[in-house]
Amino acid sequence: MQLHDLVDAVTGEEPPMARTADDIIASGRRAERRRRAGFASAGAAGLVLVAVAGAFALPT
Amino acid sequence: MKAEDEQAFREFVTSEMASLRKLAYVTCGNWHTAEDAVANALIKLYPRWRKVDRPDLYVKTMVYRAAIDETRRPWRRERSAGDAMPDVVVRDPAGSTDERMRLRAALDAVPARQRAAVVLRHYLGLSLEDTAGVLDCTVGTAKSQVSRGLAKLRESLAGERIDLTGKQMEEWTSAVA
Repeated sequence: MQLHDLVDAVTGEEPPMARTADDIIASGRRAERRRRAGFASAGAAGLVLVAVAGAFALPT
Repeated sequence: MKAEDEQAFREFVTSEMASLRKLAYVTCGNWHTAEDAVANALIKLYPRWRKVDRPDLYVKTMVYRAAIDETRRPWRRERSAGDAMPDVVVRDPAGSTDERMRLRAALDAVPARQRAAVVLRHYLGLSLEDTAGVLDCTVGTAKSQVSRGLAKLRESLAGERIDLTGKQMEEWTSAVA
């Protein structure tokens, strides 16, 4: 028996895919949006931190 | 993502999903876990599509790691007894299910990492360098993982009186010896 035949035999009765390429792309878009929102939040938080630190550091 | 990139990604997903799921299934031994591993890997690939040089290797690495990780999760190890419908006994005159189970058992006797190494190298046809990249190890380690995996697979198949053959296998065995 060849390895190809063995793997094909073992994986022969595979169930149909529950997800399609469109499902993957839709989930990927959502993941990308979340990633961008995360970067934007982190950037905004960084700016606030710099502003607060600057306000405290400046001599009154 | 631009329309042409998305089209390329869609074609990639369509062409690779089945073989990725086989790799994950052979590694973790469960179709549902395998599909989860593949879907999660492809979803993570989507935002990085343009940045990755070899998306095929990148996604194989992620699928392999996810399949290994999934087998380690405590809730994946738990098996409830009693909530599943009992299996209906169906005659199998051709004996194909019986043979599949024997082959599956022989494959399960090989450690998961070695199993993945053998499938990557000899079923999916990756080079040793690419196999090492997916397994995140040196070429020498990948070579030994493939060699040990084949030896273990041959041993467990010999118990079922099945001989693993093939030109590639013989070339590989003589090269390692």
